Amino acid sequence: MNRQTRQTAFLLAIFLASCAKRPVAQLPPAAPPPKQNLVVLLRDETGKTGRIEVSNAGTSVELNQENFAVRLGSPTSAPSQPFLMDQAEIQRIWGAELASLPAAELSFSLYFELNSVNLVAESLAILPQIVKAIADRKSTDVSVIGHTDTTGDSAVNFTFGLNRAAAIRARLEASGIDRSILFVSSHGDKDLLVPTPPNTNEARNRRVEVIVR
Amino acid sequence: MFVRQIANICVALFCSLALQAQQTDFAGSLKTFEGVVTIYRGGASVPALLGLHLKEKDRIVSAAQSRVSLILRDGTRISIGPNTEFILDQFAYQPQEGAFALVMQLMRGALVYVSGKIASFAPSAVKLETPSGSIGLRGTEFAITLEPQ
Repeated sequence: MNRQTRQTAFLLAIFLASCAKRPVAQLPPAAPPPKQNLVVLLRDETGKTGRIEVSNAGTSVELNQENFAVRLGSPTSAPSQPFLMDQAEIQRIWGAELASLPAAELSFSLYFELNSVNLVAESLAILPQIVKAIADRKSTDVSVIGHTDTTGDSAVNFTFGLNRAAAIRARLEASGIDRSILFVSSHGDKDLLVPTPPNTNEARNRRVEVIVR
Repeated sequence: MFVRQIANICVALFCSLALQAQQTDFAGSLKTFEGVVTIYRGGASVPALLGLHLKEKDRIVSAAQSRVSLILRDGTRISIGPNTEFILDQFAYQPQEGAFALVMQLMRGALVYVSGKIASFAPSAVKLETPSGSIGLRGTEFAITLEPQ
């Protein structure tokens, strides 16, 4: 046997030995896709990451960091330990759902003259923006919530808040918005934007909130 | 005959919308959908419709290659993927009365959730139940996917 032949035999022996160690690696069976019972905490559009608690079979696991996930097992098994998920993997699994999230609700505040259902001039100018938001979102759910300041009696203020909200509904209807999607209510003097003592004239509390969903 | 049936349905739909102007007994509205999406309500089923008002106990089922998105009255947003079964089990949002509840069930499929005001007012009032465990939500955004059982 010459030197070259011996070398070849040696290499062949190593190759065969390595094959023998993991014969399965040569012909992997078609593995079923892994079970995908996953929960992942995400960062929201405002940059905030909250906290969720996943519980099963007497065990509770908390997620409080962005892109951390747990795997859920059978109805009788505990959730896995938290692990970090790759952003690309999150996109692969939930990309379509993330892309289909509706836009966040839009909130507008309209301000009133003292003891009046008349809007101040700056607020009149906002009405077209509300009409546009309703059209853009094809909204069928618009809350129109009346508020007053703490001047006078609470029961009277409740009704007055309702009158303010109704005045805004009338203006939106006049702009072509269907009355059936406008939901009028009053919080009276119980939901102050600026906290004040009773009987305080505060312009910022005399308002109607319009929430477009 | 068929046209008349459609007309009757339209009238009924219009009346129900008009009625809802007086009361806010609904929990949210349907914002977008694709494919085949069915809403089961009290033993009956209604096909998905843009802007449809959703109610407590509604069961929303999407077929393959179908999806649907919702916004609830507190601003909660939910995007539901294909082959999904979701139940809006309990919903209460009355800040003036301090009444808050949001209990949902995901039987199968996938969804992305972004919390609304119920989660800020009463974090412990928000829960998603699944066959493999329950999720308490303290805000704000999460995603989940479940294999069919």
